Order: sequence, then structure tokens, then C-alpha cells
Amino acid sequence: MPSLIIDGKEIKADPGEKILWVALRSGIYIPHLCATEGAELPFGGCRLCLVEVEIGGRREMIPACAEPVREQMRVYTQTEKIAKMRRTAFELIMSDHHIDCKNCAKRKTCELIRISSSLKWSLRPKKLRSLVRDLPIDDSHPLFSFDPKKCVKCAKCIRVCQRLENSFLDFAYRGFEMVLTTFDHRPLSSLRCESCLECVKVCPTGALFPKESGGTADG
Amino acid sequence: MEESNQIEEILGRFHPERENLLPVLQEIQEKVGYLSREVMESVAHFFHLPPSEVFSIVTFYNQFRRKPPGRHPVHVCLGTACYLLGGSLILDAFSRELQIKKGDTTEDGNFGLESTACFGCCNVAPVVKINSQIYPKMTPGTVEEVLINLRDKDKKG
Ligand code: SF4
Ligand code: SF4
Ligand code: FES
Repeated sequence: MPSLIIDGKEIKADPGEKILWVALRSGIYIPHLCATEGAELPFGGCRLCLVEVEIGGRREMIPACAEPVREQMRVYTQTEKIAKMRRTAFELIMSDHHIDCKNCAKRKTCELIRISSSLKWSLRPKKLRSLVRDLPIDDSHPLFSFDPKKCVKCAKCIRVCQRLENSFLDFAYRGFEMVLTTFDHRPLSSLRCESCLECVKVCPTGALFPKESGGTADG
Repeated sequence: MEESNQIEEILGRFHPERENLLPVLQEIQEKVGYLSREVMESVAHFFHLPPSEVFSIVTFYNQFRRKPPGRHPVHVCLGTACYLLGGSLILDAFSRELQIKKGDTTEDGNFGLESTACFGCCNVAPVVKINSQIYPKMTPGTVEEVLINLRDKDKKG
């Protein structure tokens, strides 16, 4: 069983485990949005989980969700350099997010709020201009809705729906225009969705939200 | 050849392996002109892929269009010569006038908008090709004129 040193603390891990999950398990919080434990291919999209790892005497920045542990590996999660990178990554994510926590169904479990307080950084971007796109909410399904203005494109819902062999969800377009959507932008109610609501559960934000708890029906 | 036969014929020449997906989509687009919802569904079925994934790929690449090219497909050249002389401004001007993005078609089906590589008219760059007619030395100002003339012709025709 390899043991590694995270922020000076010696921690045991299973071989092949990714740094992120080992750290979280030992009570060291590393911000993360897109990682799924046990996923074969790390998605690596959010860049919030960056840590510094000592490799051959030099320190390198790498995403903790993608890097497997090695014996006696030294990991730093709290350096000034990392804080800066994470804040930039966070600002980028928040710059096209419709911030409306008061009316948000996920405000109690929202991962963005958690990240913002761990980074001691406001939800609202300071340096970047906020550019929230005018995209419609899909309210067609009886049990849940999708608000693209709160989607951080973490791909977690895509993966969970894929794992259940439905694969109704995927990204479309690219760059700033990228959206999470269904085939040909069909309404959620038109799919053969069995309403397992797994996508709603894994969604770290208020983008996919259950209907009964209220939400931003008016955007 | 009927469109569905054409698609079957194309699919028949390929193995349903992932690496053939892009070549198949390209060939269908070339022969049929666009990838309709039904075509994307058939392709997904053929490759045993979720339709959402095929949609994701089709929308990722600018080369694919999902609507028929329109009665007047506008091809704006972005080859080196045209590009250097403002080809992309011409594209922007068409996009503004027609209120569609590149790869899209107007609601009434009259105009489509596309960029192309050089078609050998560099001496009169920047050029636009509409229904095999070449419009030389375009400027953003002449875009409206070209469209008005085409619309007038349609009304009379
Ligand atoms: S997802 Fe909801 S709770 Fe989280 S930051 Fe956005 S609006 Fe606020
Ligand atoms: S809907 Fe939620 S889970 Fe899906 S990509 Fe957007 S933020 Fe991630
Ligand atoms: S959690 Fe590691 S890149 Fe998003």
C-alpha cells in the first residue's frame, strides 16, 4: 500500500487511486467540479483541483483528479500559486453562470458555494466580465428541469446517464457556445427517460434540479 | 437516387467502427447537402452510438450543416487571398444581413451561409459564390445590394 505526503501529512492510499479522492477521504479539501470517483477517463475540464506535486526535485501543477498516487509522493494543495490558478479557473466558470442563489433549488448543496468559500473568493467574478447567455430552461419533464444558465459543463450528468446505458445527454457546439443538451435539442420529456434522477443527483449546481423543491422557473 | 437509398448506399460501404463515423458524415453531407435529424438517427443506429453523441459530434465541427443549404447558398471564400482582403468581414456582413450564422439557413429557406476554401478567383478577391455565380471584389457595403438583387429576382421569377 503506497503512502504519500499531502501538505506534510503522511497518508496511506490504494495503488492507482487518484490524489483527489485520497485527500478528500483524509479530510483535506481540494476544490473539484468535474471528477467522478472510479471514472476510467478523468474529464479534466474544470481545472479547480490543481495541486503541486514534487517530481524530480521540481514542483509541477497537475489536476489531482487525474493523477494516481505514487509511493512517497509529495503533494501540496495550499500554495499561493495554486490559489491563484484556482481562482482564475473559478472566475472563468462563474463568468457565464446565472448567479441567483436565493431562488436556486440547489443552494443547500451547491458545490460552487462550497468552492467559493474554500477559496475565500466571491461567487461573482471580479476580473472577468460576466457573460451569461440567454438560453431557455427546459421545463418539460414532470420531475426535473434543466437551466443551461447554471450549467458548468462538468459532464457528470452525461457520464451517469451513459453508465445507465441511456446516454440521452451530451454537449453540443464548442467553445463559448457549448451547451449540455439532448439529441437535436429535444425536450427532456420526449426522451425515453425513466426518471431515475441520477443526473439531478450528480449535478454539482442548480442546472439540473428537482421540480418540487422550487427553482428558477422564470430564470 | 432517392435520399434514403443514397444514405443506405453510403453506409453499406463502411464498417460500423468509430473511426468511420466522420468519413460517413462527410460523405453524406457531400452527396445530400446536409445532415437531417433522421440522417443523424440512422447514422447513430448504424454505428451503435447514442444519437446524442452523434449530435454532439455534428455540432462540434463547423463543416457540418443540419439544414438544407437553401435556394441561394452563399459561399464566402476564406482562402488566403480573400481572407487577407477581408473575407471574414464579408462573412460577418452576410451573417448580419441574413441573421443567421455560418452553416445555417434562413427560416424561409431562401439563403444559406457557408465559408469555403479558395476556388481560384484570387485575382478578384474577396469573392463570394452564389448558385455558381461569382461576385468579385466584395465589400461589406455590397452585401446588402447582392441580397436585394437576388430577392428581387425571386419575386419576379
Ligand atoms: S448553482 Fe444555484 S446555489 Fe449554486 S451558485 Fe448557482 S445560483 Fe447559486
Ligand atoms: S447539467 Fe449539471 S452535471 Fe450536467 S454538465 Fe451541467 S453542471 Fe454538470
Ligand atoms: S475535478 Fe479535476 S479537473 Fe475538474
